Amino acid sequence: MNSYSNSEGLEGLTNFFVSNDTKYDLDYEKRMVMYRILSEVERVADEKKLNRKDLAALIGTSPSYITQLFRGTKIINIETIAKFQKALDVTFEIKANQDNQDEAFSDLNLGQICEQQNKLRGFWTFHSFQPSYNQEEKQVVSLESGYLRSA
Amino acid sequence: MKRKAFSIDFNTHQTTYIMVDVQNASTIMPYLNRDGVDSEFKDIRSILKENLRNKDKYKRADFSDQARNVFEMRFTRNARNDRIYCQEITFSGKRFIVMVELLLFKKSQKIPKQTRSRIKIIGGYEYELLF
Repeated sequence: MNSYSNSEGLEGLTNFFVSNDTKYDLDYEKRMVMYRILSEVERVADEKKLNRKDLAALIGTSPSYITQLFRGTKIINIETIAKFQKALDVTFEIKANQDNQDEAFSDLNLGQICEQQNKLRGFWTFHSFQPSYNQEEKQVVSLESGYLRSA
Repeated sequence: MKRKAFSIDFNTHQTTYIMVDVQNASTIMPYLNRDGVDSEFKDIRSILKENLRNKDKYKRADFSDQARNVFEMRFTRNARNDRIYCQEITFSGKRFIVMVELLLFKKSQKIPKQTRSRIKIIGGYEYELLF
């Protein structure tokens, strides 16, 4: 199979995004908070030309612990954040942004995106692979579609 | 001949697009659906969409001028050591990250000769982006 334009492939893709992005995942949220802090750590460390080994020595830990943090296999604690601040001579600013439900569609509804994009280019056709209607609605859909068998 | 890539995700401000090479999507997408890889890919997508730095997740494959636009996504959880080589294109203030090729079980610290030549080839690909 050389192309990914079949319906089976798109179904997999749609399911993947929907199941992954709609449910609240506390572990993921924890990692993202950490990645935001580590991104700043990495930026400042790069500016100061510090490698992982230097960084580890500065905060009194091992380079492998730093790697585990960046890989997301361990979660950073407040003490380590404080040590990073001291070692890099910086202060992490905290800013709360209101999540906008209307804007956050890219993570939540791939179908909507596909539909919008199809209007523009027409390369993909979107099919809903996981209809959420109940039994009664299924019946109506079947009848309206002209099929006699129960859905 | 230009290759094609389709969009699978983008950030709220539509400044970063994550795309897949159409020709290699049949190997890349099932891999991203695997247990364990899916959550790691979710992290990588969020890191890219928020424009965060993390060399352990996404890093330039920096060894040659011919591959300046080639980056690698790193999948390292659960004793895995896999890479997805990506071509990054920036224009009109937008960043397009095309996932081009999957490399499983990277073994040595050095990039093998064969992979180096693949990366150079990836760096030379031209894309038609499909949305």
